Amino acid sequence: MSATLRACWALAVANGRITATDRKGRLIICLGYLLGMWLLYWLWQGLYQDDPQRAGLSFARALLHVVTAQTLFAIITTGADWRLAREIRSGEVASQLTQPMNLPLRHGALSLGVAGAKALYMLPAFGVFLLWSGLSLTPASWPLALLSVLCSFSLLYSLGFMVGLAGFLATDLWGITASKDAVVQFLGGALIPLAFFPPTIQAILTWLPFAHFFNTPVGYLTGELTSPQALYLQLAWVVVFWGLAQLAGRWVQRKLIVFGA
Amino acid sequence: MSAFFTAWRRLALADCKVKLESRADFALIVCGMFFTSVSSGASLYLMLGNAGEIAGYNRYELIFMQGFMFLTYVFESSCCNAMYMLESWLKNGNFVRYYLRPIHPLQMLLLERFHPQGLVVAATGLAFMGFALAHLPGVWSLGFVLQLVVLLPLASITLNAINQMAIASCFFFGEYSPVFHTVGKLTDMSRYPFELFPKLARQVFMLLPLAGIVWWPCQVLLRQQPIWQVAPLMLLIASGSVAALMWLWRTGMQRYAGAGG
Amino acid sequence: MLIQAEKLNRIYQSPAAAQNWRERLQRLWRPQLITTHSVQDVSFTIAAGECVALVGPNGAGKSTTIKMLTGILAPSSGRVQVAGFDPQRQRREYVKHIGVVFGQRSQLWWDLPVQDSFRILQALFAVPEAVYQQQLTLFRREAGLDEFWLRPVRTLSLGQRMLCEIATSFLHAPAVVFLDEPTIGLDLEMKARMRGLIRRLNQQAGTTVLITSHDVGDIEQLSQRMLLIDQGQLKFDGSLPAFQAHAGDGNWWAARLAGDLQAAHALLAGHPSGLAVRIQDEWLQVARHDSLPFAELLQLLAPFAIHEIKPVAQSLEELLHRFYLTSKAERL
Repeated sequence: MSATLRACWALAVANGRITATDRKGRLIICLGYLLGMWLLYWLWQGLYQDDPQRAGLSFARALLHVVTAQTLFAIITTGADWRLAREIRSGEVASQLTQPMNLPLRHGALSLGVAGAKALYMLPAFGVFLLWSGLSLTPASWPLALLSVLCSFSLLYSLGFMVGLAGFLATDLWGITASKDAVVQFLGGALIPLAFFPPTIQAILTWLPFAHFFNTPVGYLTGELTSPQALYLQLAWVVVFWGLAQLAGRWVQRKLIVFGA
Repeated sequence: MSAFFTAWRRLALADCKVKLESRADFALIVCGMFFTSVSSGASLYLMLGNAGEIAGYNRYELIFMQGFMFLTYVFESSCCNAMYMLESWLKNGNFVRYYLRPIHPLQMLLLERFHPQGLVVAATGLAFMGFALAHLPGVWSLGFVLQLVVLLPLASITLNAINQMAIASCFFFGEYSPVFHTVGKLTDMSRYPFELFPKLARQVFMLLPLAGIVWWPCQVLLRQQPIWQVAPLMLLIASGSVAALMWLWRTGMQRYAGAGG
Repeated sequence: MLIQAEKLNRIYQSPAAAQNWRERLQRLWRPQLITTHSVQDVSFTIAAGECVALVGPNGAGKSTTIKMLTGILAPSSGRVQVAGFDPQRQRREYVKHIGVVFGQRSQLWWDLPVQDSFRILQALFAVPEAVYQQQLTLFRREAGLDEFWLRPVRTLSLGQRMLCEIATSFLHAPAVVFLDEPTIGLDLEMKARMRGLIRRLNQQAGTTVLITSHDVGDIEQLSQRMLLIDQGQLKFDGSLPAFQAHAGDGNWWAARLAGDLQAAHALLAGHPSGLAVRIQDEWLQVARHDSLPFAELLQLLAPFAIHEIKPVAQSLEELLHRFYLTSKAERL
């Protein structure tokens, strides 16, 4: 077990270093991120100009939700789907079966490295934006909030891994990855808070995995959520998604053994 | 030029055939377009809530602007999809073929791939526009159609030139994603009314020239701004953007040849 | 002359690595650049219809030379003219008269069937239908394109793809074709097919071919002339036999003896002809020369009980290897 963890750590650190290598590029990304957040600020201010309360949220709370969710999306979106699909199409995935490591775990470690590196250079920019806009994160419990963020990463990664298997079916991956990103952002509460949705849909989304991609971790980070109930539900979905990713990993292996790369 | 069009026709037909032969590919492309457009339209719809207005633009005008944005994207989506490959071609050396064809390198890019997803984008844009126009009395007329026919290609060229310039940043930075994502934040915001943003942002949008994508054309189509004032400006913006793009490619190609020995 | 290269030079400048933070900060203000000569004063001419090999070790400047000849790179100084064109300045018109294949790089449309790639190239290079059909018949016969004509390029094996790449480079009946390591990574059968195709296209259509390769088989079987580049400089320009005479140490007699090898070596070394004598593995070798006729050699070696005697000549591979090694040693 410890050997597996050490291998995961090595992979995560290596991939994190690759992600953080191009300093000029990272600087441009951070500036672009700040620009995006600044534009979002004005968009939401325009929306609240005539009405100080919308969907039960003030301008400050709605903006905090959206910018936190967008930041989270920027950090925990790690391109696992594209990476796996590329490896499937190039046949590289077959050579990975020669390594003593479970395929979903290997990709999970690589993705964690990317997310860690992104967090290192994006969180300071997020801090700058919060300072400028006079907003702040006020979670009731930081451990609960961080655990929820970790769960959100696991959910998104597992989904990305399963989507990446489309590399076996399709030559063009844009369609499926774009669908996934659009659905998780929209129904997950990254584009607008779920409070803007009709109450019935909100309830459905909370029971389904969607709300737990962004709405739940953002709720904990901003202090909107305090009780651990949503986290329990999120954890349950993490178990389901991780199990499905494992099944998918086995399916890849069987397919490779039967049909070749 | 006729050789180019013959080659392009052959490419488009062959690529369509190949894409349609793979049902999984085609279905996923349609799904991708459906989910991205529905989520962006629905986000806007829900965001506006009961008030239904933002910066003096009503819900349907905003949806019209979204639809117009989709239509400006049709050319890029179907004809310039290969631009995303530029970075990997530069890295693996396959870019050398751009020096070895008897056509302009930007024409060569159009000859790399035809993606039928552009047709789905067009259908989505028309659906958004049709829905908006059905709720905007007095906008639809023959004059409106003529104005659309003049302004849409110019807007389309401007959007494509801006995005291609962002992609061409990989000639200089090694990867395009930092600049492309930053520019993406700006182009994404250009489908909203510029009145939302502070003066500085408006001036930057005019200068970059993001105003040529949706805002200027919609001033004519929705706000009765005379076309004889806007069309020459749009022509200037579009031709300036293309000239800048060509200069960037020329410089980039000289630079790549220098580094690729 | 179809290809004329005159005093070609290509210089690269790259930033010097800083040793510490002070240097790093200083170089932000005043960058320090290292100048590297990739190609230095290279001059040669190639006549129409020739098949010439451009050889040299890795990093010798072969690819840079090819890139300058194909218009991809501008020479830092010097002059190139191919088929009457300046490759850099007249790029768009010039490329209609040349064909190029760069080893592992593809010129085909990855997701399209082979036939569609050919059709698009036909339109692009404005190849008349009759010429296209004629070329295609030739390719089908010589390269067996029918096997994979309808398959998407991405599904082809490396060998099949390279056959297609070479065929496309000849599609518009160019005056000259540049082949940069066209047989890299191919198996023996594919190499033979590829060489056959290139040879026939060179001979039948009279197309001039300039080929770079590390595979001695390509050089021996395809080219009549060799340009050897090392450290960016042209070290040899001539026919293969001329190179063997220039770089080799002549021909030898090799004898395997039952008797004492050292004693036989001492005997021959003391012969008045003063010919070179050496021992390689179990073979005693003596330079072949009229001053030591074969009959006399047999007589001299008879006391040592000759098992076997044969003439040996050094292979091109051996000669090239020794040439590179000597050159490297001189550099060090």
